[in-house]
Amino acid sequence: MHANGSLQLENLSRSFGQTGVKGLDLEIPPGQGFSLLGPSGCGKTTTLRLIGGFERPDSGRLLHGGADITGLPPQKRDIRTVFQRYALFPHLTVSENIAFGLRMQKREESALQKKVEWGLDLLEIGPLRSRSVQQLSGGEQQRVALARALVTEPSVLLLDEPLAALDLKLRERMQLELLSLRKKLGTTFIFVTHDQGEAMMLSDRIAVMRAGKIEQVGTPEEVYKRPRSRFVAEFVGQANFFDQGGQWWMARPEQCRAHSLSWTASADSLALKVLVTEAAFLGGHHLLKCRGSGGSTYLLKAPGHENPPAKVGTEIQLACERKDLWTVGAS
Amino acid sequence: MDRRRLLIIPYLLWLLGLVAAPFALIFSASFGQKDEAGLIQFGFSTDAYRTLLDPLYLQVFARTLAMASIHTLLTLTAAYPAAFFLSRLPRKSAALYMTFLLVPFWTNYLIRLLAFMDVLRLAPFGFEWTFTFHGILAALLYNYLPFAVLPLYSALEKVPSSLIEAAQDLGASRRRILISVLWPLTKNAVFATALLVFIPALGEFLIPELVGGGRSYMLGTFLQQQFLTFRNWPLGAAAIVFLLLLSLLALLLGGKALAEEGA
Repeated sequence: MHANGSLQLENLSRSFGQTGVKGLDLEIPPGQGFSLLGPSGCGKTTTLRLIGGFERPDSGRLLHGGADITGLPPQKRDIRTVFQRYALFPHLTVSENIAFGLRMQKREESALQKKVEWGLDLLEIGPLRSRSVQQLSGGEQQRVALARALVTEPSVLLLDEPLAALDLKLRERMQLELLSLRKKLGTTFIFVTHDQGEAMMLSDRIAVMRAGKIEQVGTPEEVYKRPRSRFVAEFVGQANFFDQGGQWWMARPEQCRAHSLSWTASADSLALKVLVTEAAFLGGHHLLKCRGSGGSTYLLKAPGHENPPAKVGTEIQLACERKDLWTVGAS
Repeated sequence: MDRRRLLIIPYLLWLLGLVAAPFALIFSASFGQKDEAGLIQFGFSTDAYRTLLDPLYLQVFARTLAMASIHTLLTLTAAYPAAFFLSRLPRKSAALYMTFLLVPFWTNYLIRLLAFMDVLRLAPFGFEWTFTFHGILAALLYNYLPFAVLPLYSALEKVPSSLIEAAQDLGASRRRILISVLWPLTKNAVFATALLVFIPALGEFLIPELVGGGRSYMLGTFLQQQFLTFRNWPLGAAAIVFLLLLSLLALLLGGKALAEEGA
């Protein structure tokens, strides 16, 4: 066991021919919710497997609470993994699955049973205890997988696309539950996800990855409002880009407004004539998809309680305030 | 009547003509007696069975059982790790290795065996192999290994790697992973595979004859001699009935596993 310190990745690399990860540097403080976010093939799962001990890095170091754990096998790390498809043992019942790690630690039987009960309570799966895991729904299986990992009291829990296999309603509920579990236990949760909404909801900080490298690390607000590159801006939420003075400037759809053609833009606004190509009402907001004269696409969000800002096929002026624009690099 | 049921007729004919009828013939022959000309006098005599109870013949059965049992254990022990190795490879590479395993089987059985005997004559590992019991076991292993690897591979391949990684993550040693995860998930396949290599080995004739050089007198040789050399069909038939009963017993013991594996 290690001191409950932060997890540090130092110049960590692992290549698989064309893919892999290169020179990762990260520090994740204890108890933090952290997400590795990126498209498939960006190296986020490899990063998680390196932290979990299932892959050995070609170079670089991994520190946990100051101690070098680069060469340690998974079981010697104070880190547990919840696998994407949960990887429950199909020949064991729910309780037996949860007890597996404790048995390997050779815990005394009565203490073991108590801990299993604690795990069943924690995830509210007591009634399922003697069921075969093959009879469980996806959501129930995930609870068993979480309980199985958490009863061994790791200081870091790795979760590979934990919600990907669940339907929307369940996903929303599990997101809240994962948040409260983390707060309650003080365990560091590191998620791998390709869903930016999930990453923002679950984490204190997000690392956006691209082609084996970390593009940006920051709080959800930082990566959303101040993306370091066009890639981050596009991957974390929707974005409009304007070419102004040799720079790409970004404005989020909710920062843009629709105006009639007769409207005159003031000096602190940027306005663009566009054609509305699609319009949808999404409850909380209206979403307009527009096409500019150069063929670029622009998105515009307006509050849902107002009337639709424009009809499909009409021409409007898409405007945003210059102070809202954020540069994402040279064009 | 559902006309699709007619499709079973060829199979029924096959079963009747090539399984049931010959077995009935063997069964009745075993209760017959051998006449001067070496032909069978059908009747109801238990002479053949009483002859079989002779310690000399019982020894042949015991030796054959021992050979088949040791061979089964050896073959499974060799095949399981090989199948596990193959099951962790990407499908394409696994198929390639499997082809290598099966290539020798494109050769005629007898030629393959004679070639293998040439290898044994080189006394690999500084041992004498030809005309020995362990030589027979080596030849059996060589011949039956692919038949054991294939079903074990298909069972092990269904165990996702994440299950093994999860067990490792939770602190299971390699031995523990084998005992607590792989074995429970593949034991039915192991039993089924055991039957698959055990039963044919009971009646194996060429390997004990050629590799053993007739020095290890097995059931297969005994049967061949009763039918072709001594023309004592009732005794041979009785031995076959006995062999079938043994196989049936093995099937009953392992049959449940076999049925579950097939399901």
